[in-house]
Amino acid sequence: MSMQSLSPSELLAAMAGGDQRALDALYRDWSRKVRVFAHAKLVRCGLDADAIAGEITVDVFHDLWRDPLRYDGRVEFVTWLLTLTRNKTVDQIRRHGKRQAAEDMFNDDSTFELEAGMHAETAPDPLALRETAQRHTAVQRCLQRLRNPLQRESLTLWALEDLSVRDIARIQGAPEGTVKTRLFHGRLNLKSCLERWFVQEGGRHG
Amino acid sequence: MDEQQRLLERLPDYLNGHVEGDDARHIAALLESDAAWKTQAALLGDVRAAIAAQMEEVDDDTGLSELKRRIARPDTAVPRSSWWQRLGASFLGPALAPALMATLAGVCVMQGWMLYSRPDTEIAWRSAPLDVGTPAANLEVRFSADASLAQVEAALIRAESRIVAGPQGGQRYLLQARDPAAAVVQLRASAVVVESTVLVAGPPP
Repeated sequence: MSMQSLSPSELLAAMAGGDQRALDALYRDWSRKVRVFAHAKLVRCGLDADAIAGEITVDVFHDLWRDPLRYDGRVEFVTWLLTLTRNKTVDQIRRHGKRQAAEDMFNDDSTFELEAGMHAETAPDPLALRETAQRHTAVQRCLQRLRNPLQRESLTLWALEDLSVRDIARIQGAPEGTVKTRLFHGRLNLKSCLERWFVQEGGRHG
Repeated sequence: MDEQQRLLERLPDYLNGHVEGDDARHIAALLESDAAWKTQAALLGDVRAAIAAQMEEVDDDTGLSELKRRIARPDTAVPRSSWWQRLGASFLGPALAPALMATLAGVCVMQGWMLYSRPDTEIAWRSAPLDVGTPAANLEVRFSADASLAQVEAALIRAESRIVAGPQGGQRYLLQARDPAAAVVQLRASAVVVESTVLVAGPPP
């Protein structure tokens, strides 16, 4: 049977029997989401977010290999996996003794402008592709600049896997109402940041 | 909270397919007719696209070789031991070494104190009265000088008595008899007894 057609629970059961192909399949299915979520939590912490997100990803799947039956099926696998990822990321941030950097988005114009300019120069033609890529870059940068890391985390979780507010609340260990508020204010702040970004872009090309 | 705000907070769930019924119909209608709602939905769509683009930048296998190296490495974690081993290890751990040394020093001090503060039992024995336990004599008897040990023994058995002190001068012995008067009769009947006398008991010490 192909490993690609198996559910996470079936892959975990195969891993419990020592099947490394099941681990490979699980890793290929889920590691990118783990890495992107860990990265979203690590940005603005004053740490090397790329490197530590990679370590966390390997660590999460190493844990799964050592004890695949830790997942008991009481919640969706993705909810459980991202909760595990979140806990490991929080541990790493604590271990490094870093706090969220107190950067002020509005005092960070130089970096903001430089990144926009760099992207404009390197983006490929045709124009539509470039605009799409620019928009993705703008949203990614603005997500990273959200002052409230829990707003960034909520929006990332929402976009990663079609999660419901209830699932996000479970992962964050917060009431559903709080998550709704984070998503709402996160959107407002993101919109404000994007408007600012494109005003600068318009000025540059206009 | 007004109805629009409540529905706006449900928009993320609606876009992910987690809203049904009246709320779903109202949100769908607002997305059709209201430009502000369209902007909100487009913004969330941008977030989703940006996160998807971020995931696309990462290769599926990134980190997989590191994971396999880690799995292939022998587990350096300390194997699980039984509770008594862990308890022993915790007591012998370096953190508890000062406490262990202090306990040993305390035991030594205690033993030294017990050694040098031992009560002087020999002095107590020496000061005990000598007549303690000495049976009281109630007969005095003088055996003949040529009496054999066996003859003396036979005479004492018949008189139901025993020697409690002697020999004193002139082959005299002090005896204790269960019935001194009857014992004197028996002793006087013996050929090896020269004389026998009942002793009068003195006042108690």
